[in-house]
Amino acid sequence: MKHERTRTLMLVSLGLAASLFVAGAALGGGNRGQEKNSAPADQGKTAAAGQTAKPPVTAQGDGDYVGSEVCLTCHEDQQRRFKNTLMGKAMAKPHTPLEARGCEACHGPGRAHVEAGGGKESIPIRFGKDSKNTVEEKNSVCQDCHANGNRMFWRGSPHQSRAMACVDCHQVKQEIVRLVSSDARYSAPLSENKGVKKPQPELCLTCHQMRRAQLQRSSHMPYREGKVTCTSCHNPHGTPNPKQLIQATTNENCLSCHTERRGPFLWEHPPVMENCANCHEAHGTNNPQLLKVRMPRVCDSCHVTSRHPTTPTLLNAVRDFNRGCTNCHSAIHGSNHPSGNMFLR
Amino acid sequence: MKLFRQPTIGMLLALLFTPALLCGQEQPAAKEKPEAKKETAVKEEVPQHGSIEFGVRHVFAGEVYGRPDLPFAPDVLTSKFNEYGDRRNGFVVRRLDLGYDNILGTENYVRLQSQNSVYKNQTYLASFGQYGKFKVQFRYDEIPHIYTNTARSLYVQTSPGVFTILPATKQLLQDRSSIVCGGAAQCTSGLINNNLPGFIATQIVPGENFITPAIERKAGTGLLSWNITSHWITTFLFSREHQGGTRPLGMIFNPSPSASASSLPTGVFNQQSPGTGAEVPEPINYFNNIIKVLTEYGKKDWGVQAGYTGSFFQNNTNALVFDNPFATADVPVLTFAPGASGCPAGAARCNIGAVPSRGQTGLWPDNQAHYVNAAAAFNVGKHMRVMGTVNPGWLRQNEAFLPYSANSQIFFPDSTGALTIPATSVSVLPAASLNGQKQTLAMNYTAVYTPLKDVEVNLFYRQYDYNNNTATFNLTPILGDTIGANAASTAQLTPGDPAATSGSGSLQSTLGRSNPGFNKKNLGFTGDWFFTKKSSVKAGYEGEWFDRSHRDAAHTLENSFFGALDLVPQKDLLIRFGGRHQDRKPDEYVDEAAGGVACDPASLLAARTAGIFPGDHPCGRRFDEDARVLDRLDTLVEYSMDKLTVSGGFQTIQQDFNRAGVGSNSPTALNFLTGAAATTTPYFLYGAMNDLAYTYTADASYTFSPAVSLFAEYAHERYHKRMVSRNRSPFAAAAPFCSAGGCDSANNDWESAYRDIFDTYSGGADLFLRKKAYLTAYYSLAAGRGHIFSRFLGDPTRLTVGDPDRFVLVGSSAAVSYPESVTRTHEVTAVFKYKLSERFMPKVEYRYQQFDNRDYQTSAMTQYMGCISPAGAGPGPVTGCTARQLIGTTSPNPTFTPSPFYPGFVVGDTSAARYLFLGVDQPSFRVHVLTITLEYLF
Repeated sequence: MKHERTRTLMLVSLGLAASLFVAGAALGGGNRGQEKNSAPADQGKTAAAGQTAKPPVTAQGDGDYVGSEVCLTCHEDQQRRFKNTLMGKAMAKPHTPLEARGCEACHGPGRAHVEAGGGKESIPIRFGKDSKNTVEEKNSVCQDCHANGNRMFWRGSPHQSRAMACVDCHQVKQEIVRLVSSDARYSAPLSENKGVKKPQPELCLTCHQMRRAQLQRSSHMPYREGKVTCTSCHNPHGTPNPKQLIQATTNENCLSCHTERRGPFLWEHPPVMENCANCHEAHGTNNPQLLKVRMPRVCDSCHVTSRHPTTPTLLNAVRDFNRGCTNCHSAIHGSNHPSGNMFLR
Repeated sequence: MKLFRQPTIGMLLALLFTPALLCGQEQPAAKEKPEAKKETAVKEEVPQHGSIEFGVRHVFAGEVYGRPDLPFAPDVLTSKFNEYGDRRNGFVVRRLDLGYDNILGTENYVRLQSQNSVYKNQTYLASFGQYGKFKVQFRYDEIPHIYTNTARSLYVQTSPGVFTILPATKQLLQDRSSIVCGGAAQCTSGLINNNLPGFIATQIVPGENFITPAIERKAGTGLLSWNITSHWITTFLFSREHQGGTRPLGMIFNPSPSASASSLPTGVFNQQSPGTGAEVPEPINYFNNIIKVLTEYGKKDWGVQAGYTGSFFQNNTNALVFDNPFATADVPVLTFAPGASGCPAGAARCNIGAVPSRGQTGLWPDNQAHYVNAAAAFNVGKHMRVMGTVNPGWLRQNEAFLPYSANSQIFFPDSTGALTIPATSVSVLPAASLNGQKQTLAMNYTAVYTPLKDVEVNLFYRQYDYNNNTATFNLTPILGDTIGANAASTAQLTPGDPAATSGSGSLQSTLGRSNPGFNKKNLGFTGDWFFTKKSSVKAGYEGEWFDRSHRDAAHTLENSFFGALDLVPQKDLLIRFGGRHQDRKPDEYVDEAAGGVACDPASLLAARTAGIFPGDHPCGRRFDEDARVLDRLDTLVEYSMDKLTVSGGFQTIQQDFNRAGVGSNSPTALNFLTGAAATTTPYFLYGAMNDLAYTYTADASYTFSPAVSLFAEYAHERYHKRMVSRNRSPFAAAAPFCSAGGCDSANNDWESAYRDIFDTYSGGADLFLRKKAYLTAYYSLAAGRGHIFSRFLGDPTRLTVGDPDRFVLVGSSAAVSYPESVTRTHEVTAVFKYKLSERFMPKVEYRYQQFDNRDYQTSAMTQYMGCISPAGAGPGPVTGCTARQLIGTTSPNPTFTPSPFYPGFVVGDTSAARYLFLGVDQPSFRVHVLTITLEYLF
C-alpha cells in the first residue's frame, strides 16, 4: 500500500507490458506466412490503397472460388439486402484481398456448391440455425476481419466460453428490424452498428431476463429512455475486467460519468471509494437514488456505533423521511470541507 | 425554446436535402442490373438514403394525483412522466436517419441520425468517412433529469452559489423562534415547538417560491478514427459535457437536527438554539472534458493497443452559501451563571453555542484523472492465446479549502493563546488545499489454452491497486456551535481542546485525516469442455486476496468455486445452468473505534462493568469486508422453434454473514433471550445477517403467420435482507455512561428485515396486414412492493431505572415496522402505421402511462415537517398543526393517528422544528399521449 510498492509494481507491470508487446510483435512476425491465407485486421487496407484488391492465393486454390457474380445468379435477393448494410457497403469497394472474395469471404469457396447445383450442404460455412459448422468455425470467419478492437479479449470471455456464436447476436445480411412494439418499449442510444438482431437492451435481455425487470423499476438510470444502455458499461465481447466491465472496476465505470464523485477528498468514506455497488444497484431499484436498501437501513447495517445510527426511530423521524441520513450527511460520497469529517458539509 | 425550434428545423431540413441534391445523380440501380426482374427494379427505384419521421404530439388528459394534502396541483410535464424526457405538445422530428455514399463522386460517405430533435432529450450522430480508411464522427446528446415537481423554497439565488432569504422573513422566523420564559423559569422544547411550527406552516410555507430542481447534461463528442495502414488504427476523441441546474441538498447548521429540542438555552435567547437545518437547491454547473487517444496495431493472431485517457472535471460553483432562516446575525457563545437568565440554581453553569447567520459548504472540487492503457494479445502456437493489460491511473484534486466555519463569532487562538482568529479565516488551516493524489494500477493477465479441440483452459490473474498518496495532516473541525456546549465553560472553548468533546454529536478535538486504500488480487482458472456443437460444461476456481488500509479487515481471502452447464440437446432447445459458491474470511476484524474489546458475551459484559463504552460496538461488522458465504444458482431454459419461442429462468443469490466465530465474530450467540424465549435465530455479530434474492422469469412469443405475432413476459423477484443492531445511546456524557441502565445491553438489540417483491408483466401483439398496415398493441405493468419490518429482540418487561439491562426501546426509540411502499407503472401503447407508398408511411401512436407511487419517505413530504402537535403530557396542541395522538400502547410499540393523506402513519418530527425542506416528492401521475407522424423514405 505504500507509494514505493506501487512504483515497483508499476515498473514490473510496464516491464511485463513491454514484454507482451515485444512478444506479440515477434510472434506476429513468425505468423506472417500463415497470414497470407488469413485476413488482415479489421477494416484493413492493402498497400495498393484505393485500388480494388485481388483475391489471395489460398490453400484451396483459386479454382475453388467462383466469385460473387456467380453467386448472384441464384442469390440476388440476399445481395439486395446485404448491399444496404454497413458491411455490404464496406465490401462494395474491397480494401483487402479477403473482402474481394465477396460472398465467399465468409461462406468459403463455392465451387462445390455450384457443381452440386445448389443445396445447403455444399456450402462450406453457413451461419443459420441449421448449420453443421461448429461455433468456433463460424466465429473464426468473423474474426478473420474482426479480431481486434474491442474483440481482443473474446477468447476466454464468458460469452465465448458459453459457446456463443457471433451470429447469435449479429446478423449481416440485413440491418436491424425493429418491431413496432420494441420501438415503443425501449429507446436506444444512436449507433452506427445496426448489424444486431435486436436493438439494445432487448438483445441482451433475451438471455439476461432478470435484468429486464430491473430496468422497469421506478428508480433507474435512463435505460428505457435510450440514453444509457448495456454497452455503456459492459463489453459483451469480453474484457479482462470483472463482469465484462469496460473499465477496470465498478467504480471506474461509474465515475467515468459521475466524475464529480471521483476525489480525492479530504475526508473519504471507504466503502464508497471501494465499490459503488456496496449501496447502489445500477440496473434499477424501487428505492431512491438506486439504493439497494432505503435509508436509514442501508447505513444502519454498517454503523453499529453509538447514538442515533443504532436507535430504531419511528418512521416519522427526521432521520427517516425524505432522504433519511442524507438529510444531514449529504456529503456521504466524500467531503473536501475542513469541517466535513462527519460528511455534513 | 420555441424561438429556437423553427430555425433549427429549417437547418435540419436543409441538411437533409442538400446532400440529396449533391448526390442525386449517383448510380441508378436500374443501370447496374438491367436484367433484374421488374419487381426488383421497381423496389430499387426508391433511393435508400434514409428516413425521417416527423409530425405532431399532444399530451392530453394528464394529471398528477395522490397528494390531496398539497394546496397546489403539480404539473404533469415536470412529473416522473418526464423524469428523463421532454414530451410536450408540438411539432416533433422524432427520428432522422440518412446516409449518402460516394458523395461528389468520391469514396466518402456521410451519415446523420437524430432522435427527438430540438427537444431537451435530443441526440445527434453525424459521421463522415471512407470505409476502411478514416471516420470523423460527432455526437451530441442531451439528457434531462427532473427530480421533483412539488418543491418550494424560501431561497433565491442572488449570485452563483449564494442563496438568500428575504431579511424580513428571517427576522420573522427569528422572532417567532425566540420565546421569553417568564422569570427564572426553564424554557422547554415544548414551548418552542408550540410557538414556531404553526407559524411556519400557515404563514411562511404558502409564500414560498415554486421551483423545479432539475439538471440537464449536454455532451458533445468528436472522434477521429484513422487507419494509418491496414493493421494500424489510431483514434482520437474529445468530449465536453456540461451539467447545469439544481438538485435538492440537505444541510444543517450544527451537528444534529435534534439539537433544536435538546440544546435549549435557559433564558430569552432561544434563537441561539442551534438545531437548524435547511434543504437547499444545490447549484450544478459542471464541465467535464475527456481526451482519449488510442492506437492499435494488430493482425488476426495478435494485437497491441496503447492509449491515454484524460478526464478533467471542473465545477464552476465550488461553494454553496445559504442563509440560516432562523438567525439574522452571527451570534457568539453565551454563558450564564447559575440562577441567572433561567439557568437553574443547581446547575454548574449554563451556556449556549454560537449560531451562524448563514451556512457554507464546499461543492464537488475540481479534479482530474489520467489513465494510460496498454494491452496486448497474441497466439502462442496454435493452442494458446495470451492476453494482458496494464492500466496505471493518476487522480488529482487541489481545490482551495473553505474555512472551518462561516460563523464569524467562533475564534481560534493566536500565538498568545487568546481566542482572536475568526474561524472564517483560512489562516488557521494546516494547508491551503489538499493536493490530493491517488494512484491506481489495474493489471490483467489471461492465458487461454486449448489442449484438445473441444477443451479450453483459462488461467487469469487480475490485480487492482488503489493508493491514496495524499499527505496526512491534522484538522480541527468546527461542527457548528457546540464549541461552547460545555457546562463548565465560562466562554468559548479553544477549538481542538479535548475537554470540549461533550454535548450531542459534538466533535471538537483535533483529528488526523487518513488515506484509506486497498489492493485486490484475483487468481483463477476455468476449464471448458465443448462436448457437442453448442454444448459445454465449465468448472473453475477463483481466489481473491483483498488487502485494505485504514479499514477493519486488513486482509481477507475469498475462495470461489463455480461451474456451468450449457446443453443444446436439439437445435431448438437450450438449457443453461450455472452455480457459484464463495467463502470469504478475514484474517482478523479489528475496529479501532471498538476499544480493543473482544466480541463475545463475556468480554462485552466485562467491558460494560468496567464502564467502557467504545464508539463502535465490538461486534459490529461491515458487510463488505466481513466473513461471508455466497451461493448463486442460475438456470435458463429456452425452446425456440420457427413460430414459438418459450423461455424461463431462475436465479438466486444468497449471502450469509451470520457465522459463528468466523473472522472475529462471536463464537457464541449474542442474543439476550435464549431458548424458547428467543424471538430470532442466534446471531454472532451486529450488522447485516443475510441477503437473499430470488428471480423467476418467463418469456414467450408466437408467430402465427408472417402477419401476426404475439409476445408475453413475466418476472417475479423477491429480495430479503436482515440486519441486527443494538441501541447504544449513552445517558451520560462521561463515565459511567450507562448510569440509568440499558444503554449498552443485548436486551436492547433489535432486528430489521427488508423485503422487496416485484412483479413485471408485459404482453402485446404485432400485426402486419396485407403488406400495408402495421398495428401493435402492448401493455406492461411493473409492480413493486417494499417493506421494512423492525422489532425488538429483548425482554420488554425490564423497565427498572438503574437495571443494567433495562429495556429502552420505547416511545420514539421503539423498533416499529414501516408502512408498505408501492410503485406500479402501467403502460399501454397502440401504434398504427400504414404504407401509403414506397416513400410515405403515416403513423398514429397512442400511449397511456400511469405511475402509482406510495412511498412513506417522500409521499408525506411538505416544506415543513416539524408541525406536529404533541398530545398527552406537554404544553398542549400546537395551533395549525396535526395532532399527534397515540392510539395504541406507548411501550414498546406506539402507534399514532394516521395521516389523512397517507394512511398508516403520522408525518413530521418535532426535532425538525427548525428545519425547512423543499418538499421533494414524485407523486403518481397518469397521462395520455397521442402522436401523429409521417415517415418519409428518401
